Amino acid sequence: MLTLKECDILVVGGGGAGVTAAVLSARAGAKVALVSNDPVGRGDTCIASGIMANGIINAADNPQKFIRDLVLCGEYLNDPSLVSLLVERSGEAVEVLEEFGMVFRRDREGRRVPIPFPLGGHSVARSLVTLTEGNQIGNALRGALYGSDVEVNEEYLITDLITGQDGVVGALGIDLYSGEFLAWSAKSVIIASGGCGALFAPFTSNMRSNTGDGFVLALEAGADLRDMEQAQFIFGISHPESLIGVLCGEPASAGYFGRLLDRDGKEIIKNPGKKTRGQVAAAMAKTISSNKVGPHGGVFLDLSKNRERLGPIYRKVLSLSRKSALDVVRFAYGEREAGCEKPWEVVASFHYHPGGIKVDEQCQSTVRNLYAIGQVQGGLFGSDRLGSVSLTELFVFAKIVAESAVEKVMNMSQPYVDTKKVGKIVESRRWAMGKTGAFRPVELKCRLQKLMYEKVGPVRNGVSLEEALRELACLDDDMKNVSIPSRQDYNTDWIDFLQLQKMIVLARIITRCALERRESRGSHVRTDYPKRDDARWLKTIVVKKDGEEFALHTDPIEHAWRDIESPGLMEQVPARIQGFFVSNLPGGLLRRILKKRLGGFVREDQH
Amino acid sequence: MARHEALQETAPRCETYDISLESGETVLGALGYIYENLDSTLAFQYGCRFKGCGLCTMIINGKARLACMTRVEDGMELSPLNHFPVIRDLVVDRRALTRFLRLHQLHLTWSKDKELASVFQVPSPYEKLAGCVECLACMSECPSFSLGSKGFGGPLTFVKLAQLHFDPRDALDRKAQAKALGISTCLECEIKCSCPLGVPIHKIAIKSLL
Repeated sequence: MLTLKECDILVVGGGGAGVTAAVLSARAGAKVALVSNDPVGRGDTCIASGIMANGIINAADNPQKFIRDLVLCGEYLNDPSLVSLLVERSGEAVEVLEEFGMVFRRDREGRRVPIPFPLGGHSVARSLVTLTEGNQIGNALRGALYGSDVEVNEEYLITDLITGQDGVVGALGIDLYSGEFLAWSAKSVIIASGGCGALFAPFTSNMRSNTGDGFVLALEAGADLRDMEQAQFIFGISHPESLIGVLCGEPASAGYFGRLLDRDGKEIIKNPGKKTRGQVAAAMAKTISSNKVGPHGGVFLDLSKNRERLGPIYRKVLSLSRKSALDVVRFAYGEREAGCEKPWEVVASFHYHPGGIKVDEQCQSTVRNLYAIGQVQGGLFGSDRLGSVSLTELFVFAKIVAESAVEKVMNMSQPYVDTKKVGKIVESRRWAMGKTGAFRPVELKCRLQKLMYEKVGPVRNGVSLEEALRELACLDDDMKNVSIPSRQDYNTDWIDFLQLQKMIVLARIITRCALERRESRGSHVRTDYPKRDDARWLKTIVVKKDGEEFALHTDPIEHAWRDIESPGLMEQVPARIQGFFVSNLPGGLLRRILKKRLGGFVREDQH
Repeated sequence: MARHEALQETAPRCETYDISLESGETVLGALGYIYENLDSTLAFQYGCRFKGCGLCTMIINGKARLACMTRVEDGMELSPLNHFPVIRDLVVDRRALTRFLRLHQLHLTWSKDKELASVFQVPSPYEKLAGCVECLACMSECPSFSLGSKGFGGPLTFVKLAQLHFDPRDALDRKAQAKALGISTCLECEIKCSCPLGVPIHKIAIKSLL
């Protein structure tokens, strides 16, 4: 017998976006249920670096500059209304979090201060930092949840959204502990399920639970997706095998003097510390495809010149932005590498999916009563994102969706869920249980991950993408020939199978879109079309449900931001002068300047 | 490795896997290898693969550790954490923890002084406690903790209480709460709680609440 529960708002996802939307909606009076496939308060939020771009808190900053940084990085694919919302309301992210119990780093007077450097592609210093990276945010989220009336469902997997005459009316899920199905009737469903790193595992910095199921749930319910070809890669550990892909840095980690080298010690890109994630990934793609990689398939991030010029304070700066990166480098490579004396062999590791579910200013998708926030939402970042804005995005849009969804559900009656129809879905999802075919689902999962990284990953071109589509069709066939034990409790093979069903659909979507976009833009890097082509490709690719399949079309970009240009020569003068001085000043003076800028920022006991 | 079938209520059986790996690999890496190549019925929980999420904690050679930051060695023995119901194999019931923590008001309860909303300082012990990821290693090692008893909070609860105690924005008397949750038990305890991530459970959290 299928259990059917009722709520006003069902939130799918237990990371930063999901928990915040759930808590704020419940406080506003809605009856909220939250479903998470991991224990709550985790997701990528709890393993983030804990750096969060804030509102305009720096005298040198203004909203136009923030917008320009976002649009230049997203290479014009950004949705203008979402960008405006983020910039306008970015200051609210920190307020929401600190109200939950977070504490961001402060100056001696107790005021919040940004890290005194522009990081991750920002032109101005506007990012706050937590005390202990993302896990502190995870703790604050769990605290807020414990103190709320939200019905918490941890380690449940949502398999389907239930639709009715009037859009989405609920969802169907599985209790992973018992294998029982459970359905919710919900006036609104908010998807906050994060990204899709599991498609590229182990070459990803994401949590294992980021299987990208939210994109497919939404599409199957009839919602449009956009910019699905985009895939951001940054630096991951190259060995040992257990740690491949774990995040160890991003272009900004290279600092002023860091170099990125190929096997022969040749620089693959000048000044990587000043480049966007997309530009650095493109340089890495070129090196990988010309096979000039190290013994573990990576390129070499050499930070030794920073250390020589700046001394030990350089490591303070590094650990300020991500201490755990140095920890994992020490664990994987050794003490001298963690001391930045020896270069790190790094691989391109999948970090973030800028595309996703297409939404309006209320975060509502193209299907009624279905909302999307966080990484699973598309449009905000266009084709690539800056560092430290994804945390801001989570809390700003969680707040926006809570406001708009709560107001709406208060005037709605509980939607009708056709239990007969749901029973049929349950049957179809149970189909594979007890099959005794040739393949264990995990074998197929590994095949998918390998093919996605090699053919649709940092290096992609027409040939590799066509091959990928053929292999994906084979995988689809092999999914009919699986072997899964017939058991209810935490049936790992069955969970793999259910996740894999959606992962294959998502892989096809990403591959089709990547094949369609015959240019390189943002985090989408094609080796056969290495240049951006504004004449043909100033448009977004939209994915629409089409019967049991999906279809693509393009929407042109028409907004005024097409006029936003990269900083002109005159504007670059101060940065160039600064760069010149930094490169030529004696080390001692540099160190003193750096110390002064850091001021009270690095705690006394860390010196 | 201990294999549990909790739903069938049978006693755990011991299973041995013989694998060969490069040196430097982690216990989690070994479990992944077994799962992918030998036995995909093996249930274990993990998330980030290094130190970030606290989901892969298990008993390794008799001590609660994170599998992602423990290097694999010959002859290792693995079993699920103590004091939590086992769901299957190495997976324990984390929902029980959420239910338990929800009972004890372990969230920031704002004082009336709204001045503190944006300008305030936290003392350095706060920062030292903020790195807890709820990996449950301390709860598993604690000789006095049990989920069923309402009387004793356990080290994780005390870490959370101490954090709130050091938070200038919090309005509740966390020392009194710790007393009610039996922190005096820790006075007589021989084990000085240790944390895989270096959170000073005994030295700061418990001492500051006593």
